[in-house]
Amino acid sequence: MDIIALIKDIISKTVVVSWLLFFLTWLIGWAIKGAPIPMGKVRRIGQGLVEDAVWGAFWVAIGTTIFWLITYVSAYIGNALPPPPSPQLP
Amino acid sequence: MYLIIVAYYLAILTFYIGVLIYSLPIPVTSLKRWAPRLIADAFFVMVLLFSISSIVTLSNIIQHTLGGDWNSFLSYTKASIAGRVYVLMMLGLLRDLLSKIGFLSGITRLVSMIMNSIVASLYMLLVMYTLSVVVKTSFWTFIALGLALMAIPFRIARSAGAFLLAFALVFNTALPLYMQFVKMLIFSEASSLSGFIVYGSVVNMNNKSISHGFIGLEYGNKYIAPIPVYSSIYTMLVNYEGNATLYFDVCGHMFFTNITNASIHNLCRNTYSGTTPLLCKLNLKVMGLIDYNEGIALHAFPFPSSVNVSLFTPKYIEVYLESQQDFDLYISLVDAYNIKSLSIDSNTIENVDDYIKYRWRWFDLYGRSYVLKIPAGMHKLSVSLDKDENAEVEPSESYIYMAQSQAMNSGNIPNIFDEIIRAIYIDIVGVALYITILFSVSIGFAKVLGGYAKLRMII
Repeated sequence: MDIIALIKDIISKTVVVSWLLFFLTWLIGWAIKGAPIPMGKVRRIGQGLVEDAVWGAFWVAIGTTIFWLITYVSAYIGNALPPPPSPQLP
Repeated sequence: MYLIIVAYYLAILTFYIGVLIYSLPIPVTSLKRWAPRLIADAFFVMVLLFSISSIVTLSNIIQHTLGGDWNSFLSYTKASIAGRVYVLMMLGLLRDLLSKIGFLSGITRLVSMIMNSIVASLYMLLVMYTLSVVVKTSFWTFIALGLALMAIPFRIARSAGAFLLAFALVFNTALPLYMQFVKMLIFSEASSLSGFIVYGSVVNMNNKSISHGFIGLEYGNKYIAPIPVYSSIYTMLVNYEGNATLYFDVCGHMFFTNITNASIHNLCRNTYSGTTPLLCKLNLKVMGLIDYNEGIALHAFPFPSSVNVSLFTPKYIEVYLESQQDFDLYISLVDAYNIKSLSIDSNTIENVDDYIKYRWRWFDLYGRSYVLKIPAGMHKLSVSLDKDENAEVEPSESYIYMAQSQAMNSGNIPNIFDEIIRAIYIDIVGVALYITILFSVSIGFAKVLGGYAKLRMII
């Protein structure tokens, strides 16, 4: 198998997995945060999970745009590379 | 290019792995810390990847500003190597000569010592030449491989990749600046040997190479000979600017060549544009000579249209000749040889000695020339010879040494010692020092590229 095709395949799988994981983490985070456990430490873990999940979702959504921007700017100064893969979100 | 695309996709993969770690529902700080790190790595490699051609252009601009140039650097290194080889050849002759006459064995040892240091400098120059050829030819491979290694997720091979990248960039930029570095050291280039080295192949009028023989150089009212030809290549030092004539000087005959009454200086300047080169290639075409080997010369006038030398040894000669007109075939032999039998087209010639036309002296050797009238057409000449094993067939080394030192010109003798000191001081110390400096610069640069603690984005 061609190494580039292999890497592309891994990229698309990673994107799908991270997108699904975002939902899972988000849910787990809110579940922990909203659980009737009167302990600040547990609530803070839930808060952290929600924040991380939101950051992850943000980077998945914004990543393609940033790579496109970098490619665009570098093409403007004379480099020619293939466009970044745009992973399909489920 | 393939590796660069691999590096590009690896950087994107690194980014998405960072995102994946962000969204993992495992609240472990040491794991979560990888997420912003991987994302920053990906952006860093991406920016590096896309600005690499600009970085290379910038390094080339720096190189040109400082006065470096790959072509002149490579030809300088090659000329230095050739110069060392030339000095070694000369000193070797001198040493053999001194040991042969058994004159003051201490001097022989001194000459050997100087030769050893020149051999060491030759090694250093060869190391630098090899390194520069490697860097020059596989520069982009190094760059692409370095980027690909840097782009592997989780910083597995980042420092290795950064070192490769830094090595390629630093050596490509700074190796051609070696000449400027040498000029910074005490001895300046101006005290090196004046003049330049001329070399080239030797062929006859049918463009068949003449593997062995001697060259003579005539300029002004001076004549320098015999300069030996080894494996069809001659080498000599020329520091004369006026017109000169090169002869092929064997068996008491001086054969004209294609370089007759011409300025070697100008010929060399024409082949390279601009500056006078240290190393210059001039191929010689010898007029009239068919072939030469160990004191036997075969020549003809007018020169036949086609000559095929099938065998040319001190024992037996077999030559096929083809001509549209009658011609004279000359067989010149030093006195160590006797003709056992001579035949043309299977007609054996009796009383060979009747064909001796004239006798000659060639340095310390005497000989004679047989002249045969050959009619037009295709002919086969075969000669079998008898050799006196004790007699010399070529001029002794003392003549060769004399010619070499004459070519160096007595005014240049102090320069030869300068050159030896330069060889010891600069080429051994200088090359090692320069390569070491470049290596440490590369390592420092690699730390900047690979460790970029201060360059990290706030994520």
